[in-house]
Amino acid sequence: MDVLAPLLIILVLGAVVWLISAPLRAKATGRELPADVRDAQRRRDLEIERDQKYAEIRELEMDLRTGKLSDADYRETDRALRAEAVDILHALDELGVPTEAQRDADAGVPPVSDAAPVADEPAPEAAVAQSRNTPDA
Amino acid sequence: MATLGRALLILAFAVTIYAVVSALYGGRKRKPEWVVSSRNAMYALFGLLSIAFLILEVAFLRDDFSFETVATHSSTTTPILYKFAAAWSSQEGSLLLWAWLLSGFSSLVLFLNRRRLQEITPYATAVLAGFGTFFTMLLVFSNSPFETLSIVPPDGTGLNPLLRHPAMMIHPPMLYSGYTLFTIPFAFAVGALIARRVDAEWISVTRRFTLAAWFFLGIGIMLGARWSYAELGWGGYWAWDPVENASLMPWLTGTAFLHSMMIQEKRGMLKVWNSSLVLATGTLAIVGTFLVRSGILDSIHAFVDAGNYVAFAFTGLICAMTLGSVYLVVSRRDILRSEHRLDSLLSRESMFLLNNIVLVAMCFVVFWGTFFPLISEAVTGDKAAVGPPWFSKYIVPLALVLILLTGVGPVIPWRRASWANARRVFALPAVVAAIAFVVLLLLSDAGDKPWALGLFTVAAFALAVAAQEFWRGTRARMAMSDQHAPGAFVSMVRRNRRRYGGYIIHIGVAVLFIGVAASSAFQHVEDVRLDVGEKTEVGGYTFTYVKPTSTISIRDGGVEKINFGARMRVTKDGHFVANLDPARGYYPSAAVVAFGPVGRFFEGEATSEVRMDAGWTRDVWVSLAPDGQWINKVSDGLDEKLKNAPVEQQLRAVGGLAAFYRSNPPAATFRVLVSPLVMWVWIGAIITFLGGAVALWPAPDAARRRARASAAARVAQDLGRTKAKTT
Repeated sequence: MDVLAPLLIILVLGAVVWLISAPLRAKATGRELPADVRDAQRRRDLEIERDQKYAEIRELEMDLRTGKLSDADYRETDRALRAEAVDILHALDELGVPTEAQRDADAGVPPVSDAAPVADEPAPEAAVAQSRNTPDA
Repeated sequence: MATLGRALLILAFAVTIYAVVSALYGGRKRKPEWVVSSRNAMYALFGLLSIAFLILEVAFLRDDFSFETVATHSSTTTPILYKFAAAWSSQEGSLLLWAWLLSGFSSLVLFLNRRRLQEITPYATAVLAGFGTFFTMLLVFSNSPFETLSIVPPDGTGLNPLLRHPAMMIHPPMLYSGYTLFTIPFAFAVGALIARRVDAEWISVTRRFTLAAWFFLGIGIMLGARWSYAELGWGGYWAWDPVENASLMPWLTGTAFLHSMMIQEKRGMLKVWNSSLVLATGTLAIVGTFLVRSGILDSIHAFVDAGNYVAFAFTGLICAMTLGSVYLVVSRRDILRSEHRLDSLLSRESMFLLNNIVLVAMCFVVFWGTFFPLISEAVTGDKAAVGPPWFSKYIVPLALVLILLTGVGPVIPWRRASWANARRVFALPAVVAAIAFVVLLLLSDAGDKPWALGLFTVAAFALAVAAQEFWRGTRARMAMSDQHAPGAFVSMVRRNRRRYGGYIIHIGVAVLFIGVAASSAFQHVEDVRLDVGEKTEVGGYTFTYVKPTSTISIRDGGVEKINFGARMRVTKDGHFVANLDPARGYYPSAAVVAFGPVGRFFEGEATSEVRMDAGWTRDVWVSLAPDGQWINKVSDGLDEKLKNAPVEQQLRAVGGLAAFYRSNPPAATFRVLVSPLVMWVWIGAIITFLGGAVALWPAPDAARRRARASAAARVAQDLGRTKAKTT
């Protein structure tokens, strides 16, 4: 054990140094943060806001179908939500097409946030119509 | 192996310092290789602490008493599962567990988000590594689990008998998982504020970790409550003890954050509030750890006296977290402005805001009551404490409002609701609540306890709302698809885990509070001294002390403990209910010379072997305290006679003492409880955490894509129209 312990310590130390220094050693071939990292971050934020807005629109439909909203309230709020979603899409458009670097930066990121999805049937306008047919909607 | 363990801790300490420095350098100078290097350092930290923890566990399992912590917290007679758990019964072992869990969760969150939050992650990494530095510093310089003894004892002192309970294997890891997971949203909030990126993504990234922290801490709290009820002899599940309160505070603010973060996600509002809440929750998690590990406040759970160094270090960390949090929120107030205002007071945002105020008020009450002894000592010089009635005075009304909001919130839509719709969705739950109120008032003695009656009524309301939500959701789902009700129900929950997981939690909380209100307001409790054959009446039940019992537990040829107990026969209206056999277990002290060969058994640790007959409507619970004077008198006499006798004779005398207790039993003091609906406290907790598991479980990608497809299509039409207009 007297010999084994120092050997193990040296082994562990070597492994730690190897692991930690790997990105620094690979710097020559490694990638830099995109110059326009703020745009990339902004894009991510907007994409999440967009997905959350979609989830809100779906939740609103669910609220209508479960009788929490009147048709009039639904239409008004739905219109407002869709307008907000359009604003977000405009903002995304203004950021332009992502560069290769930004695509790299986003690689492996799921395309949607984990915001709660609601029901899966689209029924864009039919949601209102269908809800009218349900007894308490 | 102790040498290796010590070296690993020193290396871990150095790695955390490196991680802090490289993360900050990489973040400030925009050098991603340094940020990645800091992340790798966190992975390395996890590896190092995993090996260190493994070494400690192996030492416990192998009875390696050259480790001081093994010698003082385990023994050859300790059952193997308790040997495994004994690692975190010690101060140093629990600090190592904390650091290990922190490194594991930190590595996980950094790995999952390695390509996201590029501006925030360096600072979040630095904060997480900073926590790692703090705990490894304590492990290296103050509380090393790898201290060794120059003279190795043949056996250890064993695990504290009070900790020999199955919950010991899971309760502390659950609590610590909760505490450490709460540091993750804290770290990302600090990162977001430093980087001035307080938009949607950091909330989205940390939401699941916050929910996981809430989930694990909640389970830990309830396991502790159950342990207390079934093991400690005072008869309750919650004593407003400082250590209990320490875990409750971050759970309350974490619950508030889980609600208010939805307002930020949906409306871009409450950014200051959310940042403050998450920073406060992280700080309270450290305060909780501090209270558990420092022994600064008197607690039935205080198994350690940490010493000044640990207390001083924790105080410094808490001060730094508090001041740093205040500075960050104040200095970033320009970017924390709300994007919208409340559209209406009758909206889900308003309900959530109100729910937040109530939860934070509850946390403040708990904080004030917990720290009152320190506050009073600082002001008056006397360490005065407040008791359960003080807490109940404030918590009960707040809980009533909270449960009411649990019912109101889910049926009020976001942005604004019309009174006409509100009336419609509240009609049925209000009728149910009114019926519950009238029935309880007329058919029970609930009218004598207005607060409990109020809680039952609002809980009935909340349960009716939840049931109505599930029914309407299922019906809507059936209308949208061709599924039958059960299929539609499952499909609805599966596709809306966050929403319906939340509703299940609401049901669980309402059920839990029904149990709490009933068992605390209508509990019958009596401390009574009985001789054999005597009886007492409590809560309509007759308890008869039938006969004394005594046993000696032998393990590996030695006497592990002496049990003095009683057979208690419980009847109701002449009908047999149960035979209960409570006992008091006496574990011997190692100080034979100081206390004598027999007396030492009554100078060591003692445990209550509580016995109960639990049912859906009530628990009958009994604990026993044998006559201490009788025990002292008899054991003193035996010690005098046997002080120079051989060990075998001394052990025979212990056996004789047990037999003498049965043949000449003294009067014994019993604590007898009849508590209604305690079972529903545990059932409510199980439902709550089942709901938490549903909300935590990720929705399949396909379901997510389907869910957003229709909304995306509709918005795309709008976008096409606006583009057509502009062109």
